[in-house]
Amino acid sequence: MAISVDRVYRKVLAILNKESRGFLTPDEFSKISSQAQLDLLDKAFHDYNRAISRESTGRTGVGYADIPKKIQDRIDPFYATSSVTLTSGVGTLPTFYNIISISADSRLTNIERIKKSKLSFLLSSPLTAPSTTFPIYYVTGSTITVNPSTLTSIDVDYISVPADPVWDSTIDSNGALTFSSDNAVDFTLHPSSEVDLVLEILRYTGVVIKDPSVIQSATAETTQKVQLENS
Amino acid sequence: MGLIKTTQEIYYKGEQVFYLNISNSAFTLSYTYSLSGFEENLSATDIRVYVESGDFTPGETSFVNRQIFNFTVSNNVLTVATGGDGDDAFDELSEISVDGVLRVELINHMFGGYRHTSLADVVNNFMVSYVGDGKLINNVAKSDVVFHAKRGLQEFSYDILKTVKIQEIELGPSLALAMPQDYVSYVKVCYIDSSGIKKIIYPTRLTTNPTETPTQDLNYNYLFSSDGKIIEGSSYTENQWQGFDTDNLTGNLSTEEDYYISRDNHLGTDFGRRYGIEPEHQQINGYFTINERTGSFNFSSDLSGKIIALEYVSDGLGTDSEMKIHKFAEEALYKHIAFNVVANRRNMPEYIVQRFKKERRAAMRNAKLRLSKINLAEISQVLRGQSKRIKN
Repeated sequence: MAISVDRVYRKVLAILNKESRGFLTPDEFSKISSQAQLDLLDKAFHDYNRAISRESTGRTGVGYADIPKKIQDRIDPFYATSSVTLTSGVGTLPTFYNIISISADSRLTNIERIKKSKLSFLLSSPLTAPSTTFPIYYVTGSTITVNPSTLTSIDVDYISVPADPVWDSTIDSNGALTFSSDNAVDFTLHPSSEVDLVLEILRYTGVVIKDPSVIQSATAETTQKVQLENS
Repeated sequence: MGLIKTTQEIYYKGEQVFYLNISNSAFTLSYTYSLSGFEENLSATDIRVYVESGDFTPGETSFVNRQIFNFTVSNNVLTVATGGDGDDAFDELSEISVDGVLRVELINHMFGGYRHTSLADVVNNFMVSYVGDGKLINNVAKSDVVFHAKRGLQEFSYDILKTVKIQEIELGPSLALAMPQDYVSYVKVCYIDSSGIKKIIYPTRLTTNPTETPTQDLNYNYLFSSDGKIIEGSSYTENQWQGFDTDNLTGNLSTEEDYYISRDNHLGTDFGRRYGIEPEHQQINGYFTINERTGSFNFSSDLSGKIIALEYVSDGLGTDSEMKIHKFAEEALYKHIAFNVVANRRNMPEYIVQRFKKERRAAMRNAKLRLSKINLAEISQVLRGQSKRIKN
C-alpha cells in the first residue's frame, strides 16, 4: 500500500523538466522526500482533528463522504505496536511519532497517560492512586515510567516515525541512472496522499533549484486543494 | 457473545479438571494448562492444584488428592514446574500407567457473581460508549472517570445498594467491640439468643462516651507528658456504666433484689409500681453506645458473653473484590459519572448539565426501586397479620 518512490520521482522530474527548470538529483530527492513525508504525516493529524470537528457539526456523511475515515486511512500505515519490558516500572519506548495507547495484561488493561504535574495528587489520593486495575504512566524522552511498578511488560500502540524514502539506482555503461528496487525505500504514506506528496516535494524542490515559480504554483495548487476540502 | 465466560462445571464446582491421558502405556503429559475457563484473571495464590489417579492398589503410593505446590500462573496459564512436586507426581503416574487428572480448585469460590459488574468494567464501558469523537464528552482523563465511579459507588452504598455487612462476634468482659475495618455506619445491632433469633439492641441516651479524658492531679490540674500533650486516662462514665446492672432500669429483678433496691437506691420510688418508667427503656435486650474515642461499640453489662450481630454499611471500596456494582444500579452509575464529568466541564451548556442531572436522578430512583425487592406476594403475606387480634 506504500507509494512507489520511483513513480513519485518520475512525476516530479516530469513536472520540473517540462520547462527545463532544472534537475533534481536522487540524493536531493531522497532528502526532500523525507521532509515532505513527515510534513504530510503531521498534517494528517490536524486534518483529522478538523474533520472530526466538522463531523460533530453534522457536516460529513457516511460511505464516500466519510472524510474522517479517509484521513484515518492516511495515518494508519504508520501504526505500529511493540512490547516493552519494564524494570521496576521503567522501560525504553520505541522511536515514536505519537503514542496512541499503552496497555498491559494482553491489552486487557489500559494504562492511562497522566500529566506529570498531577502525579503527586494522583499518588496521594486514595481514590485515584494507581493500581494494577487502573495503572498510569508518564513519558520522559524515550523513557516510560509505569505505576504500579509491579507491571513487568506493556504493549505500546503508536505512530512510528517513517523510514526515509530512498531512490536507489545503478549506473549503466553510459553513466545513466537506472532505478534499482533492491535498496530502494518506498514512501509509507497511503496512496491517497500521492498528489499531496508530489506537490509538497515540488514546493521544496523550488527552494533547492531556486525557482520561485515552482514554489508559487505548488503552493497555489495546495491552497486550492485545501480550500476545496474545507468548503 | 454472551457475558458468561466460565463453564457450568467451574461455576458450580469451583474447579477445573484436566485429564492426563495414557497413550500406548505412556503418559502424554503437559506442563502448561490454560485457565481461561475461569472468569477472572487468576494468580497462583487464588488456586490450589491437585493430582489424582485411579490407582488405589494397597501398599502403593496414593495419588488421591495429592496437592502440589510447585507451579506458577501467568496470563491465566498454569505451568507445573519441572523438577518440582508436580513433576514428581507425573513421573509416578506414568510408572503405574493409570489415567489421572490434574485438578485446579479456586480457593475463594463464590456463587452469584453474575449479579455484579466490576468497577473496572464500568470504567471501561463508560470510556467506550460515553467518551469519544462526536459524543458529548469528547475527551476525559480515565483517572477522572475512576474517581467519579468510586465516589458514585460510595454514595450508592449508603443510599441505594443493599451492601449491608453483618459481623457476628462474641462479646467479651470488656463489653466493647471494635468497629469493623471497613465500618461507615451501623444499621442494626442485635444479640443472638440460644434459638438463633436476633434481638435488637438499642442505643441508649442514658450515658455517654467522652472523647477526651484528661488526667488530673490532686489539685484538679491537667497532667502533661514530656512532649506537652495531655495524658489521657480512663473514663469514669464508662467504668460506671460497665458496672451498672441494667436490670435496675428494666425492672427485670428478682423478688429479693427488688426488696433491697426499693429501699437502698434511686429506684426506691418504683417499688411495687413503675408509673414513671420510660417506654424506650421497657426492654431487656440491653443497650449500646458508640465510643468515638476508641472506635468501638460499648455494651451494657447484661450483654457480656452474648453473641452480637453487628449490621453495618461500608462504602464498597474496602477491597478490590468489593468494587462492583449490582446490575440493577449499573445504569445509574454510568449516569452518575456522566453527570459529574459534564458538570465539571468548562463551557458546557447548562441545559445539558441539567439533562444529565435529571437522567442521573431518574436512573438512581429506578435502581433504588429495583433493589428494594418490593414483592407483592411477600407484602401480602406480611399484611395478613393486620387482621390478627392483639392478645395480651
